[in-house]
Amino acid sequence: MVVASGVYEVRLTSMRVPRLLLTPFMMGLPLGKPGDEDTHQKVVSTALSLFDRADGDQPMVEFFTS
Amino acid sequence: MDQTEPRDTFEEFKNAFSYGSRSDLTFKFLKSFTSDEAADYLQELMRLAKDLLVDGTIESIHNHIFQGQKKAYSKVTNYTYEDDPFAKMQKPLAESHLALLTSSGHFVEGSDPEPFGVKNMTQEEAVARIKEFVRSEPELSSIPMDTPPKKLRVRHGGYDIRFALADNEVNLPLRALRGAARSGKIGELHPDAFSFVGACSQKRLLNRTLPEWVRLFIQKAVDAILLVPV
Repeated sequence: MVVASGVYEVRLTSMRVPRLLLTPFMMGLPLGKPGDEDTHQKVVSTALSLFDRADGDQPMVEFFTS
Repeated sequence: MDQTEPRDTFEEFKNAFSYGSRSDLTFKFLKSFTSDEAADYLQELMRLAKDLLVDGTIESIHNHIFQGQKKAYSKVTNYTYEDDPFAKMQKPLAESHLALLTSSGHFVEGSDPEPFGVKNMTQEEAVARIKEFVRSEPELSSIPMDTPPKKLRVRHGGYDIRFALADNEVNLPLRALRGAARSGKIGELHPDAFSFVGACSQKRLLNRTLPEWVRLFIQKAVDAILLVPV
């Protein structure tokens, strides 16, 4: 399961990463801005949910929206 | 020096943000822009900065920086991928042993990996030696999940670490993962997180280092990894 900044969308989707959550935050802060504990938690929760939801045989890509 | 002569051409100016005289890793992507693209980008950035006085939000500026970085990293690379690494989970996450792995360059105070044998390398030194880093094999640092933020250190010559210095949770989500574990989302959270400097030899990482780390995780009975590349 990969959580990454959407800055890398093209590269990561070309790699067909199995479970990928792309976020709208810039390089260096894929989970959100400093101090935004609520967003950090939501990003982690969304990412963890992909483990069980991506149970087929194809990569799954989601976009986190805050 | 003649005061009427500019220090840099515009081309030199925009390139200098990428490990040059004006090095700023948040804006290093300007080097990959044409001069016209960079000029348009900076003009828009200035307009958004002015708009801050009216509506007071920084989201538009954050998004503008994000879009600039995304444009730069959307360019074609040398790598091709013939298959994909999809592996099905053998059991639900709530019954699985999960570990965190990031390429953020974090380590615990007192456990500096000392790249190239250098003690207490600063971030500025890491940036100055980026070419050596990207030719070298990375080292994995082990970080107990309950490490207090003040005991964490971060150093990485490939990205602007200011945000990680302000709050490690932006790319090393120890607290957020502990919270997820407490709520029952994870069967077992590995007691250590792992971090390395992603600015390293990608060939060595792929062909040698990563396979060793995978064997290590299997030995530790890790079922799944949450990977946060930076």
